[in-house]
Amino acid sequence: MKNKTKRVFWGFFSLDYKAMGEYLEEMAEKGWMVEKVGRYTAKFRAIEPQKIKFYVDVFKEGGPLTPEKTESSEEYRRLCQESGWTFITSLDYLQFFYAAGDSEPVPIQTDEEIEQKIVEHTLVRTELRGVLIFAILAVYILFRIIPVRYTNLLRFTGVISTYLYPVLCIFTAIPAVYIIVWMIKARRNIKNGLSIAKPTLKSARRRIRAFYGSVWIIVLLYVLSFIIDAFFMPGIVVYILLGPGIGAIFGSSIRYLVKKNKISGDSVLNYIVIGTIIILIFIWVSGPSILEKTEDIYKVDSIPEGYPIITLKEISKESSQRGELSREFRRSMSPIVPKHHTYYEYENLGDSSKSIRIKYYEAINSYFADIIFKGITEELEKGMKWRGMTIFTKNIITDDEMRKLWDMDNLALTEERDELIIQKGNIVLHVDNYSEVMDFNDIEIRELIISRFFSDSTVEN
Amino acid sequence: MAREQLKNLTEPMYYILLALSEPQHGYGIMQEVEKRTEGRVKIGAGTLYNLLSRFEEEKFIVQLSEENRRKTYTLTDEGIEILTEEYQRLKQLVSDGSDFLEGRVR
Repeated sequence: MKNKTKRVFWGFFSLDYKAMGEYLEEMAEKGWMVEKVGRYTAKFRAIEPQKIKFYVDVFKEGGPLTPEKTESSEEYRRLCQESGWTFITSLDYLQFFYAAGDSEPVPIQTDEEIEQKIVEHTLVRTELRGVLIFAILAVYILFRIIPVRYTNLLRFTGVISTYLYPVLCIFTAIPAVYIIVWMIKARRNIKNGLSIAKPTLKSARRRIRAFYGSVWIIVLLYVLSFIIDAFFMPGIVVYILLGPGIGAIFGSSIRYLVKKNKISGDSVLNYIVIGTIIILIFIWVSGPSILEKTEDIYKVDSIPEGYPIITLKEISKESSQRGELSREFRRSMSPIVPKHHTYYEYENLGDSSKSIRIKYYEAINSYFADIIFKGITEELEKGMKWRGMTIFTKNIITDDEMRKLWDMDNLALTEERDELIIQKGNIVLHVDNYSEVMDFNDIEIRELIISRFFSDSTVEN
Repeated sequence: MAREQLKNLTEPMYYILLALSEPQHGYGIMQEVEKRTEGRVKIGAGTLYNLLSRFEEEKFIVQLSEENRRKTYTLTDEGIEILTEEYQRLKQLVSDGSDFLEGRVR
């Protein structure tokens, strides 16, 4: 019994610190005494069920980057101990104390005006700072995903980001709204000579459910999306997770060192700045090599069934002289584009080479196919940014007569006629013809492409 | 500005400064205030800690010694001055009130 411990989820908003005491009292009556409180979990030890009083106070000299034990915190805790409150643990600014159930110690805070000012300078400021950082990040990400980018429609994580990220932003605004309402109410109450409203455990629990419930559902969807995407494109997923992964490990390490008093003062900020710079350089340097190393997994000998392609052999009108052949195939899926694949074939003929690249997109309807078609043409027109320069920009032309001949909803070509983008119904096809292995005006080529890729297109009226 | 904010001391502030007319450590102050006011004014440890920090910042009190991490404080000349000002103000309040109220109460 003595050594029996358990961890429970701890989702309280820091401003609900007064409700935490009520919760801990409830737990003690059930036979669980709190030992340690973390950001997301709390550790409890089994005891004889009993009445214990708890007090959760806000210590203005605490904080996420302050060691657990400092000279001032020791002095403060000693003062509390002498007045009848025994220190248990701390979480940033929050300090947890207990007293015997039948004792009547003086509450740790007896001046609500001072208490309200401390809370505003500590909890409210920290929470608002967090919300502000998130808001800046959210606006940046929203600008990157809206208007809808066709590349985001091709991956599960992309679709989730495009359509659920704005919802996530709204839910994470809940704490900000709560903080502001709390601050206004507390100021008004103090001004009118009233007490700071004590949140009930019930209302604190309701906030936990509303916030974490929704956020968890979205996070779970993100995790599932990552797993599915990792199956199709492991390199990109590793690259995306590299930054947050290293960042989380680095952040936790810094926090641990600060809490254990191994580093303090200005050196904390120096460590954070230097560490962040090293991480960014590492990602910048190692990212391309990670992506490159995973390239080989796409080299294939055979193509899975159900994924249409055309080969160099089929379109080549020249002699049957064959060179060394290299084939790459990559596929992915998403709820909006259930089938998407890229096929690349390269033939080394010694003194020359031939290649063909096709990108096939099968969306759930023509609306999304239209977004993909426009996205590809805009991307070609914009070109690529490289070391401050824009390279590979293409002029896109439309040929209405050709579109009618091909019987397509949309048709676009690069001015050099080395790339063709066509859309019919829910299907989009992008063909690269850099080595000019085919003539897009050739009737046989046209019929081959139409019969191979567009026989199943869904045309909506 | 800070001095301006402390122009009118609250009851706990007044009694804490009064208790520090003699060197005292934190818990001693709490006991002294409770004793002096016969339990009417009770000061919580957190409130006391914050007020002592503020008084120290304003130089109303000064730390005399530290034994076993127990700090002992006493009033400075500035602290005595602000306490005297407050005493005069309270005396004036009582005097102004007594002119009118004493007769009525009787």
